[in-house]
Amino acid sequence: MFNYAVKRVLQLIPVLLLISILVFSLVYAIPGDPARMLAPPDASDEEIDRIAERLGLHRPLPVQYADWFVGVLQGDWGNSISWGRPVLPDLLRRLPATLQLAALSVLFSVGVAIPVGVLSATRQNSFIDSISRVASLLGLSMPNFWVGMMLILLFALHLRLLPASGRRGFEYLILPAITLGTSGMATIMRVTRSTMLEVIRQDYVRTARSKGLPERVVIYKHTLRNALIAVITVIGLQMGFRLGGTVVIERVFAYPGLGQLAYQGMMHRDTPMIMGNLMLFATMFCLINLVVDLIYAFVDPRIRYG
Amino acid sequence: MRRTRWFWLVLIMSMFMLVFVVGCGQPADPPPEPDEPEEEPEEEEEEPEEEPAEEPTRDQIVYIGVSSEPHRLDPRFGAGTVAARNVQTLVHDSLISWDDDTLEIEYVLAEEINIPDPQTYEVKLREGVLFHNGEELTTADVEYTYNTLRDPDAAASNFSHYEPIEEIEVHDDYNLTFHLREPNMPFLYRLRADIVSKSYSEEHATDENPYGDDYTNMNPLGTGPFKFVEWRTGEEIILEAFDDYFQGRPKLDQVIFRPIPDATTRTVELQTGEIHINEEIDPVQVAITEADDNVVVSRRSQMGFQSLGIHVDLGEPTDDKRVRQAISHMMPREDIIDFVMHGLGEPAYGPIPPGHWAHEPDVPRFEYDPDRAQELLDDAGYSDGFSAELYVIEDSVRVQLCEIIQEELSKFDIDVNINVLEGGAFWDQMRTGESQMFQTGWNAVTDPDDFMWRQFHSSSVPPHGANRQFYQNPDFDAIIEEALGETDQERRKELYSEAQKMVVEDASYVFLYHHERALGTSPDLRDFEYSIYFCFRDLMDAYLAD
Repeated sequence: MFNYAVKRVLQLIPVLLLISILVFSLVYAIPGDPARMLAPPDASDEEIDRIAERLGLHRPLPVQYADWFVGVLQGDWGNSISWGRPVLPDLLRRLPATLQLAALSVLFSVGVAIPVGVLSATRQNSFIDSISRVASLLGLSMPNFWVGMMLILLFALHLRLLPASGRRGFEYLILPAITLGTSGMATIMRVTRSTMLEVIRQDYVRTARSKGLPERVVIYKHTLRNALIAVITVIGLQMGFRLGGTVVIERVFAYPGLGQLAYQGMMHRDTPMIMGNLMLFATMFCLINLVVDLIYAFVDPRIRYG
Repeated sequence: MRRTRWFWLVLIMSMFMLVFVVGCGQPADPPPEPDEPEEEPEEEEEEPEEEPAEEPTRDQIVYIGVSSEPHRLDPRFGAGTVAARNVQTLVHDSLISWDDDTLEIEYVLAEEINIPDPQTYEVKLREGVLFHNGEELTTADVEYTYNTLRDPDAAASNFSHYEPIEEIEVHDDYNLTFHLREPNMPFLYRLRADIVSKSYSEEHATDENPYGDDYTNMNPLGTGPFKFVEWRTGEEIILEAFDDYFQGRPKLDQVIFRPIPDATTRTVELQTGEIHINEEIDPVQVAITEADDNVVVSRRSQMGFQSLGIHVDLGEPTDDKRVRQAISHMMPREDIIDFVMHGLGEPAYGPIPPGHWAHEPDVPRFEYDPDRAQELLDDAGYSDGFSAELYVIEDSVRVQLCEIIQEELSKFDIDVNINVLEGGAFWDQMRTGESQMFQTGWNAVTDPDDFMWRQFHSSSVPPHGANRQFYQNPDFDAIIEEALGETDQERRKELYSEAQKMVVEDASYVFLYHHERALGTSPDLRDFEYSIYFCFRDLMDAYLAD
């Protein structure tokens, strides 16, 4: 088990290496010159060239990559092109904000989705089931920035219950977390419902019922536990997507997390900033997948890692 | 066996959650800067009460919601963006400033400026002006600031503005003279560069960073009405009243900038009283916001224009002046303003906005007139229309504008293909100098030379300047060359009137509208007016009423 985890972490290295090369070249392939973006719009070529030179952007791409890569190995993730200061401290300072938001949104979506999913499966075609199915359809189809705006208008403007933007306390997390969690909630709800329905039709559930077990035990001990594998897989994937979703959501709520840095980095062709963000996102994505895999073994005794 | 498995699961899950929750305990505080005398803002001050108007004695803290966060706060390097200017104009002072409406020069750090000839600018500094670190401002700081700005290796913002300086001659602590390479009247407006402290910048300079800007971009220091306290990136930039400000301590205790990129969120924050100023209201939301009693909406001319540029040297048919004039006649300017800007603007027939001292009202007006347009097209031999490429930067307002242009031109069988390009790609395309039509604009016109030269002089064709329409007219060149060194203001005005008429007549630019910016403020904020040129500088006299 431990060996397995170590092996998986080691596998991260080639993955990150490949991603870094790919993204580094991609950023340069996108049209747009970072030096030009620092200059006033009417700046002449000479001015722009001077800025490029000061930033080291005139060097060949492989040299720039090698420079960046060596720096990363030494703990120096480079200086942001647009901000002109080291990238790493900024990234690390914003990381907790984004993790916190992602975690709360997962808590929200799991906390709502699993009970509702179970309820909806056990009372198939009931009123509750219909409502939850419509809700999950809506949750999946609404773009999350729009959900965010609607929540702001409702809770911040009309009801004056919650703040619309910033991060100065727990209440500032509620709206962004719900927004971020909505589509995940819908997905998890649907998966919970459908796997539950599948499991409920299994022979062993009928056996459990016929031997007179209370319905509660049948559902929670025999059905839900067997349905959990699929649900956990979806939750793991959702957490990864959640990190990407922060790019949009953090802008709507002016939330000071990694997502906004990533957005600004992209708008300014700020390679070190984009790379730094991406490395963090990729690492987290891989680690989440690893944790999900490890959790499988606990939930389902049939799964073992050598 | 079973029990231990669940035990482990719970343990892993809780460790996992712990990692996440760690963030909760850290309100992301940056390490305090060792050299900056830092005053921790009190908790209660940070969170305005739900109904601040009800408070008997209220904190004089103004929150400003800005659309984007600045990158570099040192005015030598970050003066290129409004986001940075917002902060810089409060933290720093410049030699001069001017009135938004009349562009009349007002002295700030300068006590007197003499221009014996248009190549020599003699500046006498005000005495007893202190930097935020207590040191007195002298000519050494002014010299240092301008020397960085004109140093090609520094790659400072707006290098071209300071390139005309040949030498800066320092006479004593309070007198210095700028010697220019050539007669240059617009240079007066260049004296608005924010002055930084020489000793402070040099203190933080290193071999790799000779201007000290790695430090000063994060920790600016000037002589301005507010001093920089703290910058929590992504959250807020905190400024505090400077007690020893030479024009008297501001009434406000703190000014706090909060970057809120989303326009709707910014509007809501103002409506709910979380911020006192919304830097920019989206045109779509102006009507809704105006209906709210908690918000005062004010409109300021951006002192610029939005236009359709047409390449005059890219072959048929746009090399024909009649075709370009016809296109100008096809533009329903009022409708465009209503539809695209929701009323925030007025029709433009020339480059210089009304209100500016050089504005010439008597230019040829190519008003909306489809019949005249058709006539001109027939004369030029394009009765059956043609097809054209139009380039525009990716921005919903601009793209909408181009769609209207496309629609209007299609009525004359002119088939316009719109190329929407993202920021960087758009400017790259502009640099090629091969764009048949393009949508651009200009903001905050100061001296007319500023953009007349860069946009219409023959020497400014790409890659040297912004004459992307390749307008080359020797008569025009001669006029603005003369105007550059002309000292008599009346004569300059005449020359620029002449130049404006030529530019409009030749229609390499189809002027569409002079745009306005809508700004939202709290009704409690008194004695404040936004400036297109100096942003929130007026906050030095403002206060919050009970």
